[in-house]
Amino acid sequence: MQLTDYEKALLDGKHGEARQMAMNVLYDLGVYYGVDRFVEIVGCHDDSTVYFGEAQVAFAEHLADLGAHFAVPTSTNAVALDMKRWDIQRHGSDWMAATRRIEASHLKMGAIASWTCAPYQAGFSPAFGQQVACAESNVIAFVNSILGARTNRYAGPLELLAGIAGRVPYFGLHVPENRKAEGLVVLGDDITPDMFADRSLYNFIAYAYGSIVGDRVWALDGMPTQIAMDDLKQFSATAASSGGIALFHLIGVTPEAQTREMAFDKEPTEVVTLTQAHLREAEAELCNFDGDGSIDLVSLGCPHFSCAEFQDLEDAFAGRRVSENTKMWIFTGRGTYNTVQDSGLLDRVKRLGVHVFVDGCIMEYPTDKWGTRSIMTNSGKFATYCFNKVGIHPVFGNINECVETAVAGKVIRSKKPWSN
Amino acid sequence: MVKLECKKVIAEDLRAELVFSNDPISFVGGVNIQTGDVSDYRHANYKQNITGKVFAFPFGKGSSGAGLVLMEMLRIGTAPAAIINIRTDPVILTGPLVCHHFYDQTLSVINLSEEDYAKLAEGKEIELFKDSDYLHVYK
Repeated sequence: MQLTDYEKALLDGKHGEARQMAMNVLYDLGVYYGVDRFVEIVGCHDDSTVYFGEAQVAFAEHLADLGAHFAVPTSTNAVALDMKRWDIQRHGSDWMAATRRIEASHLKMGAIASWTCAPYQAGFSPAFGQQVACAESNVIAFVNSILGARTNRYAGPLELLAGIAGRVPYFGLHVPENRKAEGLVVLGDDITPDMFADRSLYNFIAYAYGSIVGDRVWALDGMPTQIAMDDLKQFSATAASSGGIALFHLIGVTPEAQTREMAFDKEPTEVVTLTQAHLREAEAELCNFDGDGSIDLVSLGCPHFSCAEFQDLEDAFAGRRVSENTKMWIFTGRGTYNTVQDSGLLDRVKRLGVHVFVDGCIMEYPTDKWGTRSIMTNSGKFATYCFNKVGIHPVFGNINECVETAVAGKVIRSKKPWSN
Repeated sequence: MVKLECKKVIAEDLRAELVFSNDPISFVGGVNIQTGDVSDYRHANYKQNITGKVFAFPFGKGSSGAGLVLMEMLRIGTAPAAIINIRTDPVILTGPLVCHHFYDQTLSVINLSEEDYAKLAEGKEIELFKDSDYLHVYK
């Protein structure tokens, strides 16, 4: 591997043990991928934040104790719980204590206290072509695909090491040639433009796309050209859940695929038509609605709710309130929370009976503490993981259906044009 | 016994039972950290235990929390002994690499060609060697 003098010094331990250890791991990673050099990064998104166990907590503390410090601006992902209102969420104090240790060690290393899984909607969004190291699957997909910045699928705690070293091996999606699409998914004629009025369609297409494409870089043709940021967010999160998607191209939408020619450097290796049958399969995977209308919790904000979504929510309520027969929980980041508070929107939404939490993750909902039996969500990512993480097969609905359900206190869900 | 050429990322000498499928996996939500059981009801190995086994799946998918999950599984002793993939992305490689460097713990990670990977379907046990570019499949 060709190393700069600085990189050699890092590996020799001349810039401290933490940077040396970080470089050792990154060097091995480079050897595995047959990489000939490193590339400097301009930013990092730290996803080693949701509590999985003592190993992760001890590791971050070990790095911090070694004197590790991020070499580039590093935003932090969501943690497991709301760091102020964890008790109201009925999380245990042991989880809170572990989360405080995570917070302290990461801040000691110089991380920015953003605590959000939608950093790109909270002021942490790299520019087109910039090299970054991101963990958190939805952030990776969004930053690569929608922003056109360059990251591989890094996992916690590898992104910490990249942030500490300020560089990564130059491979995979850091290299422009590897960002071209191999295959193509085309929306079938039976998926018509009017169907996109139902925003859940983005999730079902994304779920099908991720299932078809797996871990490869492909393109999708036939999507509307004007897509709301929050629908692109949902698409990124859902495609990165059903598949290992790090980068997708939406032809005519995303920056590296403004035309079909831009997305490919040769003819597609394979072309798959995505039809209503795929949508039905995706819906069957994501939505468990057996007709019993009761619903204990309507849970939104995966990835974290944006300012625009808070406005959509207020509009959908149209002055009505959450029914006494159910609850609505919204998960968002501190930055967004403060902004909607300043604009008065937060108080208006709270007066509708909506609970708003910051920092935390919807997936860590303590089902057993609440005795919850049914959940509805508008998130394809949460719906994918819900049974495995929370123990419940959820009902899936778009944001309007989620609000109608919350108001009625029972599931309100329209029949979809693609359903049988 | 079938001998297959493999690419070693991290390897030690071991022989263990094989848990094989053609389904990609997300370690977050897909595996119970405390027990080592596959907990994704959509996965072919659902309810099978991977602790101390050779866990073969074509590639990783989903959450990038996999690195933290594998580190914790190594810490509490529920991790597989080895992982076999067709392609290993950094999400899968992180836990084994970090634990190798920082804690001197070894979780072997091995790659096979797509053609050879399919040959594992009949296998019951796998033997790996630290110093060989071949692995043995026992039926």
